[in-house]
Order: sequence, then C-alpha cells, then structure tokens
Amino acid sequence: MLASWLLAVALAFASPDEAPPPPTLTPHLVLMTRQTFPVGEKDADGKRPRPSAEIYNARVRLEGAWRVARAVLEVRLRQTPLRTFSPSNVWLQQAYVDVATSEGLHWQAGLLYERIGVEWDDSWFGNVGYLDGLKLNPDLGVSNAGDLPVAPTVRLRWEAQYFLQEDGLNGFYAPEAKRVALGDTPGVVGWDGYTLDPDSSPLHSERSAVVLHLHPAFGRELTISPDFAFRQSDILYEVSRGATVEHRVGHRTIASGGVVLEHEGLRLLGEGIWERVTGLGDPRWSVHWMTGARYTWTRPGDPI
Amino acid sequence: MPWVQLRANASGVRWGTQDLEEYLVSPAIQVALAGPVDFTAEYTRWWMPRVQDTPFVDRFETVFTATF
Repeated sequence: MLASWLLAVALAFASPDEAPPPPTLTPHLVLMTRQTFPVGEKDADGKRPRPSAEIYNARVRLEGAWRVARAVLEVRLRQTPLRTFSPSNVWLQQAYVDVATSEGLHWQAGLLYERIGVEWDDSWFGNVGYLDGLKLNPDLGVSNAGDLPVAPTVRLRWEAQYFLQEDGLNGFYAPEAKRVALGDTPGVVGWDGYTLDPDSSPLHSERSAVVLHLHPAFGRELTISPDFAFRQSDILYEVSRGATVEHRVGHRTIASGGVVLEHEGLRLLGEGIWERVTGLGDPRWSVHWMTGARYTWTRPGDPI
Repeated sequence: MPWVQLRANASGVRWGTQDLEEYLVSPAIQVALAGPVDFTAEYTRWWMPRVQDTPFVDRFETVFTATF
C-alpha cells in the first residue's frame, strides 16, 4: 500500500503543463459554548446538580492546498480535558495529507478518522457508539478513498484503511454503573478503570487495525446508501512495567451493518478487552445500533 | 444562509457477555443564522434498563457555535 501511495503522489505532481496556482492556506476557528441543565438528576447527597456553563471546545483548523494535495491540521482545546484519560486539554484531532489523483481517488496519511458506518449522527452530545470509542476515532494510519460514478444513478464509494497505532484518545466514556455492570473490578491486576476501549487504557494499545468500508449510493433525488464495513485489530496488553507482551485479547472487532440514510447496525466480536485478560471467557458478539431522522428547512433558493 | 434542522437520534448497545443494555436518545433543534453563529438545543436521555438502581440521566443542553 505504501508503494502505491508513493507512486500516486509522484504521478500527481508530475508533468506540469501550465503554471500551477500558488499554495493556499485557509484558517478556520470554531468556538462552542455549552450550557447544561440536569433534569431529574440527583447527586449522592440527594441534591439536584446545578446548571453549568463552559467553553466546550475551541477548534483551530488549518487547511492548506497546493495543486492536487491538501493538508488538514485541527487542534482542539477545552477548559478541562475531554475525558479522564486525556493527557491534556489541548490535543490534535486530525492531521493528515490528502492527495487526489485524476481517477478520483484520494490517498491520505496521518492522523485520520477510522471509518466504520455513519461517521456522525449530527447530535451534539454523542451516541452510544461514540461513547464506546467507535465513532470519530482518529488514529495514525493511511487511507485510500474513492467516489466513482459507475452508472447514471450509481456511485461506488469506499475507504480502505490501515492504522499502525491508536493515538490514545477518542470519545470513550463509561459512567460507573456501566463499568460495574460489565465487570470492572478494582484491584484486579492490570486493571485501570477503563475496561472497554484500548485508547482509554494505559495498559493496552491497539495496533494494525484494518478497516474496509464500502458505501455505494443509488439514486438521484432519493438516495439509498447501504453501508458495509469490516474492521480488525490487535490489542497489546502490558502485563508488567516495561514489558509489552503481544497478547491478543480478542479485540478482533468485526463491524458489519447497514446505513440506509439514518440507520446503522454494528456487530462487534470481542468488544470489551477485559474478556481474555480476566479470563472471563471467550469474546462474544455485542450489537450496537444507531438510528435517526432529520428535517432541514432552508429558505427557497438558498443552498445549505 | 439561514437554516433550521429538526432531528431525533437514538442509539443503543446490547453487550453479549453481560446482561447489559444501554440506550441513548437525543432529539434536537439546530438553528443556523445567516452569519457564522448557530444554536442547538438538545435533550438527552441515557439509561441502562437492566442495571438495577441506575437512574435515567436526563439533560437539556444548549450549544452556541461560532465558525469563522
């Protein structure tokens, strides 16, 4: 894959027949503020939590373009770290280079989102998949993406990705009740309190993730997009200080499912990295789903 | 350009090894003005029906986003 990528880059920059346009650099700034009003919640003292306000995040995104190449760098910062396992309240969300070929292919390398199913449902708070570390999860890797018309009403779209290493950060979040229900037992050797996702665990690292994602589109005014994805990775478990043991703990995640506009089903084998580590048994299938509907109004004649 | 979006999302998971299910619903309205600002009002309910003594987590949140 690397050789193909280098060849594509070389061809994309070769034989300039005319003076190329100058490089461009476009900055974007996004600022999100959040106000929270708990409804019916009570804390340990039986009191209702107070409303809160915060700068949820500020995003600085730089987009550079030169001929067929594009570079994206997005830095995010918050008042507080995103999650308890976040190393800092400032982090790289995305950082990659994208080279487009004349055939309509895109070759990308860097800190990229893994693509399984619906990338995001446009909700603000998030969905269960995101809170389990499955959505908007950037890792270090390379990607080939395409969007090719193969018939007047059919487009073939795909991503083929390989991730060398997880970056230790995603949206994984599990309240205590969930961790307890899944068998989080403080005191077990190697336990760190984050038991479901390798990005959140300092004792686990995820490597060699392969993602194959096919999502063709059929139709023009009414578009139906079935979506199929497969993902597999290896988890390394550090059993003692300084010694990383190649211990496959059953996080071979297989995600397959459909997205038809607003619906998705994911089946995951081995989700829950505690299974092999604690000897609780063989990994089993878990099922994620996500569905949604939306209606967008725009003034007649306005693009959105 | 101004636009208004109504949306309702639901998601869930059933874990294969433990008797645990988890659901999250989040209806929302998002209003974008002609300028760089948009506003979202989102209600979220998150619950685990098979976990005893686990309350619903209900929140109403508003988010202002400015994009330049």
